[in-house]
Amino acid sequence: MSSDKAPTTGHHRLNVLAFCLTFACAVLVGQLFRYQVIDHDELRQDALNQRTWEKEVSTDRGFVADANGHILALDTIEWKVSASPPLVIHPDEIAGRFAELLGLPRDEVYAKLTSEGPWVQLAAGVDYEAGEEILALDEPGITCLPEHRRFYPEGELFAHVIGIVNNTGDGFYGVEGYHNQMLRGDAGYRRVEQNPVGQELPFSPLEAEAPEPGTSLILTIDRNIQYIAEQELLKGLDEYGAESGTVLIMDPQSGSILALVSQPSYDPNDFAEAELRLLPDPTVSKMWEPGSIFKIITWAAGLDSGTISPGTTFYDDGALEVGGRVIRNWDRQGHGLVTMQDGLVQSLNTVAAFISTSTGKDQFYTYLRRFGFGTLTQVDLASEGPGMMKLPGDSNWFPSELGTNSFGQGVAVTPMQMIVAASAVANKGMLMKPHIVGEMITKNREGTVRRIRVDPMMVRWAISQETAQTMTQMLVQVVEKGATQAQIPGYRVAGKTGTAQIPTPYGYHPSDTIGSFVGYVPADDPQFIVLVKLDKPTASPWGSQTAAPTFRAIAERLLVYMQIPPDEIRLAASQ
Amino acid sequence: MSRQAPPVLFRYQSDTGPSLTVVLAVFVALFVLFLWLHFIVAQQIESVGREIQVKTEELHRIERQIQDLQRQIAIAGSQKRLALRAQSLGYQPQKPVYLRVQGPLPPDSTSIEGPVGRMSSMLFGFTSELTQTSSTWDALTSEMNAGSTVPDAP
Repeated sequence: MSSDKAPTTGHHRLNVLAFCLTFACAVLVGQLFRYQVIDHDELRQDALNQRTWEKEVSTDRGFVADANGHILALDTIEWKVSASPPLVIHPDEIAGRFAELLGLPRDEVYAKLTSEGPWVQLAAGVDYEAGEEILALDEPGITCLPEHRRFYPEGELFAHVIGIVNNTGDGFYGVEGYHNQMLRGDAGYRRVEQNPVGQELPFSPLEAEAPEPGTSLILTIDRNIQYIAEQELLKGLDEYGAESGTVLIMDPQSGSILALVSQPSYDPNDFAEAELRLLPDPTVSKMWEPGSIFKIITWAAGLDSGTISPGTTFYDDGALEVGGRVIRNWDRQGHGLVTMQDGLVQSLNTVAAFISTSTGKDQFYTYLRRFGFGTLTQVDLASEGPGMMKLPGDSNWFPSELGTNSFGQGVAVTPMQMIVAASAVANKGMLMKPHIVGEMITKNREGTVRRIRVDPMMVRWAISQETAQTMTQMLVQVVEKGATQAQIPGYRVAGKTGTAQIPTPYGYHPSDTIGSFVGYVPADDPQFIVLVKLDKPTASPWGSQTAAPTFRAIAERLLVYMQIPPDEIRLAASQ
Repeated sequence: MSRQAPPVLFRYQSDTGPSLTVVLAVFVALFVLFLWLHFIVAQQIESVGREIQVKTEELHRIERQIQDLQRQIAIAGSQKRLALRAQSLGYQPQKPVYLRVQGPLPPDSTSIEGPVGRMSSMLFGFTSELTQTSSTWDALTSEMNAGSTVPDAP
């Protein structure tokens, strides 16, 4: 019996062993199957991730140049130097050399090189030459990484035009802000293999995508005109004791901005030190009640709607009631029977209120909208504001505003809106979209360069050609008979002065004013239009005595620079 | 009398192929050859890879140098610097005198190649297919830059 059982038990054990081995094998095969088949992709990716490194390939931000190709903003190289103290071999020997190159005390550098931590930053913003020298030293444990930094060679001169770029490479204000996406381009990448120490292996990358360089911009601004504008504005501020000021120069026929200056300004290379209020461009983001220069629009609306003609008469007794509010002239005087031409030359508020009320609120505000007030001009500069214009039907609009708006009170505009509107009169009634970028230079990933020119764009007809011509003639009379300080011998200048009171929470400021002048030359074929705005001048409150002479100083230099001959010679040549 | 077998002059050996030693020797030789070839190719790959790395670093260094030179050119040609330099050399803004002349007008200045394209290609390494327009002033200054005869400084 027992001899029968023994083989059975042995056989059973063998079976168990075989089963266990089979099971173990099955587990192994199963695991292998899982590793090799089921989790294959994931594990392969994990392995690849361990030994590969995706490096971002940064690209240069596009440059910005003026109309003549002078560079206004470009990327430069700065270095960030850091150390891994455990890997530095002779800190005592290299500390002196590094201190010299980095412009730091030797003790400070030595302390950092011998510190406990695994990594320490020695210096940031190291200049190009010093960085290259450090790189050439090839010291173990020292890392020298290049960083892009925006550089503005013209400094304050173009601060408001260009804007700034922060540490992360994003642009704010001006052209840098508006065209940020285009300027910064798209970074590429390279997936490379690395050794255990983290050094890139010298094989071609596993994957790579070339960066798309940022688009470069050629502005319509002329650096020389900008310089003239800045010089004359600074002179004006100094001579008339004004707190701040703006000069805007535009080609009325194309909408191209030729110069854009505001003071006080800041150095964009060191914007962190500048006052925050100085960073936005006042020409597009600061609004003011324009005062009498707004009468250009009122008169244009009256003429175009057929409500008035230059010879239409009005008896001015010095006061006119509109919506329960009495409107008076700047001199508090009545001027008797005056024509519309006289009313514009003498800048009479009563005549302006007469025109707006005669035109009717619906039509009057329609014209203001046609001239672009209350909306963005869509100029390619960041942080543009729409100004403020209340319309009939708005809860805060009162009938008296039809009267006050006619001479530029109760309506707030930006300098850009004002010059664009005045340009429509200069440009035969055609309202052009203002633009500051004249050309774009793009380069795609394949390296193909394209130059795209920005063409002038018409927005709409604000007034008819006939009205615009009549307005120009009336504005020439304004300069010849009223704003004589804006006259330029040999040239017919069309323009209008403005003296605006400054609103406060308790009514208008008793003494502070904003003097302004907008004018274009030559009147019959305007090559440029200039808006001058001086805030709180102390020498005189009147725009005719502060902004108008500043306009003349600028225009005289521009006529020389732009080679515009006197009217007599020019008209004789064109006949 | 039994016949003696003839003397064996040649022993015929059946064709069993090369001996194991020979096979192993050939195999080892081939293996070594393969390793050697692999080593040579790997070395060349490594060498070319290093060369690419060095050239890439050199390229980056040159690109950085170009950027720095652009910065230096921009600083040297900045408006305020030029204005100060012009002032120190005695240049003064002049008022032009216009004279009425008889005869045809000069050609339109818009047909003259301006400095933008040239400057772009000089500084940024590309050329433009677009015809650049410029004012007469630009044309004159570009001629001056090109070194043509210009009036002496006042």
